[in-house]
Amino acid sequence: MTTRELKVRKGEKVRDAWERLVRWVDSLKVVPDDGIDVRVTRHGTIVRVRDHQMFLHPFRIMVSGSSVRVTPGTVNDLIPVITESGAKRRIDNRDKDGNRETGKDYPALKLDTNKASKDGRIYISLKVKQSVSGGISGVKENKAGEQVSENVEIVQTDSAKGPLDDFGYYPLAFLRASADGSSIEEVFQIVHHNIRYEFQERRPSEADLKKDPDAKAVGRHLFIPT
Amino acid sequence: MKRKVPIIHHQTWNAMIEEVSRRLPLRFVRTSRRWVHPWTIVPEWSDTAELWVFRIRPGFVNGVEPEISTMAMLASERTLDRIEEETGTRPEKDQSVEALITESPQIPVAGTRIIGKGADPDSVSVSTSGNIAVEFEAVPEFFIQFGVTDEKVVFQGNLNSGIQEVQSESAGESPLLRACDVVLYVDRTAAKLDVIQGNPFLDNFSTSLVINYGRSTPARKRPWLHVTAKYKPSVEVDMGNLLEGTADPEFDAIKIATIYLLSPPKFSPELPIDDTWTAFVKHDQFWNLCHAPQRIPDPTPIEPIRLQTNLAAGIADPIISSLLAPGNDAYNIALQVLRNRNLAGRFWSL
Repeated sequence: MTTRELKVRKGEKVRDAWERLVRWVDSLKVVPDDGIDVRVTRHGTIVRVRDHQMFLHPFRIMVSGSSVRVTPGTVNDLIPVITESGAKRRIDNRDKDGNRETGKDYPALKLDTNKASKDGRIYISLKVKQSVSGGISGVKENKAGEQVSENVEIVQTDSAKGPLDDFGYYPLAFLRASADGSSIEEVFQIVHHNIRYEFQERRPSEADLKKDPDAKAVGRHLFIPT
Repeated sequence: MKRKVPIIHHQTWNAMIEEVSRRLPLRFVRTSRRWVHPWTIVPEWSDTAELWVFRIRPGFVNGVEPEISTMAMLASERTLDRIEEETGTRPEKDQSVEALITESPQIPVAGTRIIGKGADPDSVSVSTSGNIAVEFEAVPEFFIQFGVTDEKVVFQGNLNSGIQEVQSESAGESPLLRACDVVLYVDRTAAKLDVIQGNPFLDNFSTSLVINYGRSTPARKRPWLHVTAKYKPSVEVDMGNLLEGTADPEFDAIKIATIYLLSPPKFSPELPIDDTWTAFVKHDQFWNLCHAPQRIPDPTPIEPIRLQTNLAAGIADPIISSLLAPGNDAYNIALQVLRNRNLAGRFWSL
């Protein structure tokens, strides 16, 4: 039934029109089911449609204005940190001892669109400092008996590889900034799982050093889903 | 007593209806937030190009999105703007362009294979008794329920007695099935075999076999996707393959998906595929990928593997294989080195 059918002509009986109106209102009832919540309040009726299709995976990137929040995920069972106002905060909004931070929101990474690549690329990346044994350095146990390290950080980079330094980088998401750098136009999620990190190194053998005395160790950072 | 009939002016009533219809939630519009996995392919008919095209949900390899060839008319403005900025000219609409898959290009489904009736054989084998067996790609079970029939070629007799092909029954009314594969490639360095003829007066060898590592073309900076009628996985190269002239591929490849196109019944095989066909996709990859060589590259530059023979070039050729026959020390050393320096990579999902 459309609203056109509810309208009346001059002289039409009120009762007929009223019955049509009642039928129409009846047809508009929102019927709750396992995907739809209907809550009648004195301010009105709230209909909530549950989105079953939403995929709540680790390291989900959420951009809001010029800041980025990351849903909790782990690297070798460690929770990464984000540097916010000079302080390193765990992305699960807990302190070093594993207690929930009270009165604080989840940490957000401030985006710097000036540091985007020439074509407006920004990567939100994991930055990992490797240990001698091939794992993550600086792992300690906190009061709750949980392994923690500040050497797994979420940072902004301008390429998927990250800068060529002594850290391992892996992009969690790729953001495309607008031409004027004022906003983020698109977000492409890259990582959907928790991660196991491994650093593999191959040191030059004696034979290698005979061939090339300047031969240096080569290594690679591997990021594997768990 | 006569009941009083309520009177509402028709204009008042209609104004109320307008007001109510404006305020009530007559229609819910929910924008889709359905999660779509990376590499999801959505085929569609393009009226612009008058062929089947597809879009692909961006996937990444080591965090880098691949590029893919398409026609400028099917590329997005973002791609055309980028190319214009890079080259100084905007591509013509029929020109081929390399689009990044994050730029939402449409990609033509060009070059398909036939599955079922009319297909080319996958293999032909002759048994010891001389019987010939021809094998075809099987029609996936999903399409059998649509009435697609398998291709069957039966030979009577054998090589000794003479062969006759038995025509199978024509399946004129059954729908036709075509397919193509979308494949992801990552360029890499490959092993190459060179045979160098020595100068008998200057060199202490007549023939030198050199296995070098390199590429014939510069490696692409990013991974790339290619649509091909049928993807055949390449065999990992070893010494035997190299000597038989099989080149070590200069890339690692992995199939992303197969696109199937199904015709309506009674569709003539001579006619081109049109918008009356229906597209289906079977995905092989569902997550972003990582790629790395199986082994950590050498800390020092890779030196060629050299194997020398003192035989003259012409005489050497037929016995190179005996020089490098399994069991021969030179062969085993070379094989070991080649295996240790296998530059083929592996993909894994992330």
